[in-house]
Amino acid sequence: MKLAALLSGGKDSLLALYRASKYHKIKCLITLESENDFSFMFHTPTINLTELQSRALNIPMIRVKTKGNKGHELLTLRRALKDAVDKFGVEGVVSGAIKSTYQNTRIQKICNDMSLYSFNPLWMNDEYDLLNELIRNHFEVIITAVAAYPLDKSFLGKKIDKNFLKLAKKMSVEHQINPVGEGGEFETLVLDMPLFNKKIVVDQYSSVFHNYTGRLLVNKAHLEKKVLQ
Amino acid sequence: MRKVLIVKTNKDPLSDYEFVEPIRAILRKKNILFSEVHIKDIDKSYAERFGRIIVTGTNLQDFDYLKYGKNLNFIKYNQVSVLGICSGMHLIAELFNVPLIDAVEIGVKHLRFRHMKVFLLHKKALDYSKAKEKFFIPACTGKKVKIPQIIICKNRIFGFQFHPEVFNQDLILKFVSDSGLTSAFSKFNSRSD
Repeated sequence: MKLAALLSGGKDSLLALYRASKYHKIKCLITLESENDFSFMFHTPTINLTELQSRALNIPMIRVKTKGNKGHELLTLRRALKDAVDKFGVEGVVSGAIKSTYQNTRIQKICNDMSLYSFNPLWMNDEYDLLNELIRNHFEVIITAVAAYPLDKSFLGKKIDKNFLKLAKKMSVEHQINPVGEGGEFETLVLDMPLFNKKIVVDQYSSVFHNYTGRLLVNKAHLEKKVLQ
Repeated sequence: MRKVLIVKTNKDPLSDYEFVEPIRAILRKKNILFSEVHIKDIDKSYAERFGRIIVTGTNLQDFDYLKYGKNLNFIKYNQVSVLGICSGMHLIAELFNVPLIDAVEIGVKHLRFRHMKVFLLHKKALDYSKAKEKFFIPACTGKKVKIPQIIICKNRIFGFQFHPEVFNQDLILKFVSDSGLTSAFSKFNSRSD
């Protein structure tokens, strides 16, 4: 089946794409760039880096801007999907919702209206299993935004690795932080994953942080040839 | 506790992650042993090996499972306990000659029954007028057209139109427990939505 993948640049959308690509051909990526930092549907930090991810995957991207209010986001998604059907003949969509019934329901309804398959391969999966799968498959993922105590400035740029996994378990017990950031506690960016032909290297960045809310701003980045290990 | 069998109804293996893995995760967390088989491959020999069978759901656009309903025919005559989720419930209905109707429900709803919050994802449902002759139906949605959300038959065959793996994981664990789901619904047998 020919699929489109909704791409935010973060770990969930790329793990969903990775799983889907085992069974289907990903014909295009769809990125919705929300002007609203608190978008209900689409994660926003470092969305501009999805263009590098598209090149690294060698999969074309449909990139559209949305005002970021509920109605406009869904209308924009519907238009982008129609584009994907017209240009690439896609028959379905893959997305990275884990527990958000809001996100899942909206995408399911739009796909159903358009007679498209909607696949959510991370749906209700165990959070630690997902983190372990990222680590096991050498996804290089960094944290690009935080929005909850005790996630302080030191978390910006931190890699999702075995140490983070231990920390996530501790924070889950002590502070009810969702281990995959499903409650918006943190956002991520994927710099490398098994399907990338090249990896993203961050050249320049800055950060803003205040009262346990902050983000990493990637000012300059490039693609670099991967060294086989 | 008797060993659990998961019967998959999804045609596309990608849907395993979405409709089977959440059930696996619920069972794994409680160290409950289980095996898996696809609806295409199941036969009555499985009833001898497993005390509890969970028939899982599938993608909104996938109706391939309807070709294989007869493979579950043995559940009518055996003492095995069965829980059908969404498409799994449709297969149970067909075994009892209850037809399906087109009925789209997508999203979160609250049932009057026990004020349950449920997640719905389906395009077909049981024909209530026929289903009420064959099953006890403690919960429905819909006003003009009633859509059965829970069906019970012979105190060992259960069907959920909603997806319990999202908000009602306790019901899955009760089903696989020694006391089973019957106890969960017994005190409500006298009333329904």
